Amino acid sequence: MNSAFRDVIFVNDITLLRAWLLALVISIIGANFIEDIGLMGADGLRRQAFAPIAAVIGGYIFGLGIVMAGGCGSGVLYKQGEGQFAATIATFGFGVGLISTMHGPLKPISKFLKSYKVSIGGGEDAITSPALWDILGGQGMKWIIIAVIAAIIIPVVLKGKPFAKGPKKGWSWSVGGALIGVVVVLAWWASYFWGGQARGLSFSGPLSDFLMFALTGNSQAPFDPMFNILGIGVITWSALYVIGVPLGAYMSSKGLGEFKLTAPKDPNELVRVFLGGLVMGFGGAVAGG
Amino acid sequence: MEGIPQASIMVLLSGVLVGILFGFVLQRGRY
Repeated sequence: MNSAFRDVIFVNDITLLRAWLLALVISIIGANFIEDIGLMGADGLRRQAFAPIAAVIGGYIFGLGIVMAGGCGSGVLYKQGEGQFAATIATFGFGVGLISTMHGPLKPISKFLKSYKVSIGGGEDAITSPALWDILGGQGMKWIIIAVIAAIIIPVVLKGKPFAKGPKKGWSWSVGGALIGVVVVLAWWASYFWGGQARGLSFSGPLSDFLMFALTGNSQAPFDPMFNILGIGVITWSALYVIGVPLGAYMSSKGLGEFKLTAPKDPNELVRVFLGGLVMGFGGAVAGG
Repeated sequence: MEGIPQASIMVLLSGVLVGILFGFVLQRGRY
């Protein structure tokens, strides 16, 4: 996500934004489709409560952090798999920021910002986690709204010639974007089927869950079901994919002959990415992932 | 940890595998 928006702003190139849009449209259609055919149980997709102040402030701060840290949550995780030591430092900062905001001294600030929530309707029938269609006419509008979103996104994607030949190494933007969308949908289903709760492939909560498990033996997840691992601790399903991301990136980079342990020559760079990680952690925790 | 279900091998494998797939795709797609 970081690279998609960074390239638009800094180098005026929307190629990765097209990939992101392609992933987004596949995710929206796929996740809602598997929800409708009942592959995610009676509760369906878990949608977050709409806390607009926390989302805007947290999102803005997260955005500042990812520029400093050199990657978003998944970005700093996968870059470790390529051997980038700076990404490890950024992830460490990200984890410290997350845990101090989700479980530590910064929690009251997050709680305060999240206290303003918008729901639709009142009483027992109130929709506390509204989707776009809940605002624009209800469940009957769901696929109409998804169709409108797809109709806006698909021409932008097609303009980038998604079927053109890709680079010599790695995949073209369109193959990568499409597969990200597919993995996101797969993760929604797998999180329900094996993790006990349908959730999106985010990284803020799961990194906190993983580090809390690694450091204290208990993920202390606020929402997700937890599992006992051989009596040594309790962990969430989503904390497990945090372990997998650097491993997958390592396999890919090894396969392409691109794996190389690297570290910035300038120590200031390490300080910058650590601080960026801290800022990301606070912003991500406040924004809700 | 009482009352918390034991993680099956499939819970562990599926979680790590989803991460591996995502990390692989991110690296190949150069994001």
